[in-house]
Amino acid sequence: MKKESVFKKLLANRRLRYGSSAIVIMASVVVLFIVLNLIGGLVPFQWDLTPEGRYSIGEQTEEILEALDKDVTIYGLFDPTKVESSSEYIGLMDLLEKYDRYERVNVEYVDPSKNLGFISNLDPDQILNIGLKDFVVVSGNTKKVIKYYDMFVSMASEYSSFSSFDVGSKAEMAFTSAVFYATRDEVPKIYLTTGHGEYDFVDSGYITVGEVISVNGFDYEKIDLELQPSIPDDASIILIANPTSDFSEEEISLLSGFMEKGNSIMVALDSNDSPEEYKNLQGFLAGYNLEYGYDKIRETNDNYHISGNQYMIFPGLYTKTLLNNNIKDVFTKMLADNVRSVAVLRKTNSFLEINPLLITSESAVAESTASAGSNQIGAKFLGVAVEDLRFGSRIIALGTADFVQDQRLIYYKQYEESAIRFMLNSLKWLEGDTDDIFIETKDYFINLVDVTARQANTVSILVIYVMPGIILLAGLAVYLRRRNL
Amino acid sequence: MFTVAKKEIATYFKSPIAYILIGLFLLMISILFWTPFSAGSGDFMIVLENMGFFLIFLVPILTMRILAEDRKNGTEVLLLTSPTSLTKIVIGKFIAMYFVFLVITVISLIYPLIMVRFGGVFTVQLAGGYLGFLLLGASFVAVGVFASALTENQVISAIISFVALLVMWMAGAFSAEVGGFLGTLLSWISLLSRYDIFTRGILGLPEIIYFLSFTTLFIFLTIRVIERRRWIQG
Repeated sequence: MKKESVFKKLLANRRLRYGSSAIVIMASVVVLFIVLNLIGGLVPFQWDLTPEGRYSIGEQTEEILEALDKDVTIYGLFDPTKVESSSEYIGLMDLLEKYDRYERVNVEYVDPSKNLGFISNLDPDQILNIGLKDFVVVSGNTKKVIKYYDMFVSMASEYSSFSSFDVGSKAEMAFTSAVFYATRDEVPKIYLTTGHGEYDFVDSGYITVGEVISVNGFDYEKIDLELQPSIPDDASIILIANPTSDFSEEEISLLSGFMEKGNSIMVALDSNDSPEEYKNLQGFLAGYNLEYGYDKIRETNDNYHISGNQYMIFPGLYTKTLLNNNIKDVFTKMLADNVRSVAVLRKTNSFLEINPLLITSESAVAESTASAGSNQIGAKFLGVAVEDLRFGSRIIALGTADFVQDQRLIYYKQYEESAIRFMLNSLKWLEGDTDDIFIETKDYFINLVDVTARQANTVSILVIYVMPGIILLAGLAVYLRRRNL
Repeated sequence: MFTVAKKEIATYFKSPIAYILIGLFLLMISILFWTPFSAGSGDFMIVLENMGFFLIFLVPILTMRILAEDRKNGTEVLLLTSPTSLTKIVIGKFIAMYFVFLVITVISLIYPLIMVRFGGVFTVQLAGGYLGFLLLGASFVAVGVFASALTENQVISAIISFVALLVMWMAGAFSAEVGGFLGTLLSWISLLSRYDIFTRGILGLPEIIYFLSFTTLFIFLTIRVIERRRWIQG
């Protein structure tokens, strides 16, 4: 009771209330403001409102990060306090915050200009080409460098030949795949044959495929079998992408030896107008009960082809051969053109396990491209997977190569995901794995209006002259009225 | 509190200053809006970013007289001795100023609506940007009201709030130059950095807390300044 009265008295003291104690109270409130915001800053409640989800991570990334059994550090090679608020790197830092929340992932920013020798410690042999503002994903001894162009899709400016602007973000794909890559126990290597007019991962045709398999933890290299005495031991898969000429007997011999070591081959061959019969290649495939048809598939069932073009078809898919079930739905619209059939020969080879991958409708027409051939109507296989149980080797023969060809993917963007996933999962099956990573590029939402010059002028008159004018006139009216009062 | 606010709003709209400010602000937005619009862009976020910057000029003029005029005219004493508490008076005046700001904000919605009329999309991102603009406006108005409480000269009040807002805005721009702890500190206090987060399409609880607590802090400081003066004057 006595205590209370002293307290009341103390509060009633004018000097205490308004004197020097006022400064204390104000300081206390300022401190409270700071503390409140420091605590608020620790609360990770953020909502990504961008239409494309630019600063968010998807389910696939979450699953990969949750399943990590190794520690991963993502180094950002710049000073985060010197990043301007308008920079794209601010968005990257927001994105990486989501990664950093996972137990096994640590995100660190190191300014190489202040930590001299940091880059040379990361890359003593200077083979990774690490530069300022790069990101490096490290797990154990495995390192993966992510550069600006790995994270953003840029376009050249119309107005200047020296500048570009970003139209999309590949950052989530880049970071997730780098984490996946860095934590893998082994990195399988794909060799792409050359010397027969094949598509290339670097120069032509399969550039997108090259990028995607690279971020999915594959290494790749070109190989000219004509010049090699043997296929390198580190090769897991040989990819033959749309050759326009046949392989020599020596080359086929190398491929056969490669398969006998339990490795895998994928052959993707379009229907083409050349007279090439691929006799040696066909002979090799016959060992796996496979044979390419000399035909071009035309779909007459409207559900199986794109509108207005019966040669651009949507093959039926047998997903269970390759893949885990949860992604089969995305395969329903894989667009392929210049397609030829892949026949399964009626030979009895009990050591071969044969499974179809792609099939036409019952009403498809296999139009003969051979001089003496005739058209055939009926369902045809367009892709077949074979496992040789003797050696554990696997082969996939696809009657289409253009389904993941760069230009097709650009023109028919809406079917890109299905095509890329099919390709990836085929390669994964060949490697003996079933996981895949494909995170779509987050194309920046472009808000466009459809306005003619006349409409734009009308709007300009309304908003620049009429609207402010009316308000200013109202102000003038008020002024005149008040003046007369 | 609302009686004070109503009275202030009525006073404001009976003078030409509110109309001139709103008219000029809209004119600036219109000029910014028209260039991308005529080129076929329906992205209003860029305009919204700039609208934040224009507030640095608008708010000091809007708020310069709100308390300084009372002091100059000698009516502050009447306010201080009225049965309404000082807190309610200050909050009432803040609400009045914020109402004028809200009127401007509501009118500015006409631009995105024009874009929608021509096929543009009013995105959730833009809605988030507007929320940021409203919070930024509240912070600015609170600083303006505080500056108005510091002096009886309206021009000085406007200059104080203009400089304060400009410094708090520019702190973000300098933070990247300075870097380190000081850079982090500047970025932390920068209203620009906080507002940028909204215009980039992120709705963050820390930023909402910052703007709300910032507004509360300056309203509190305004009350303390007037109260201290009352105590000093006896």
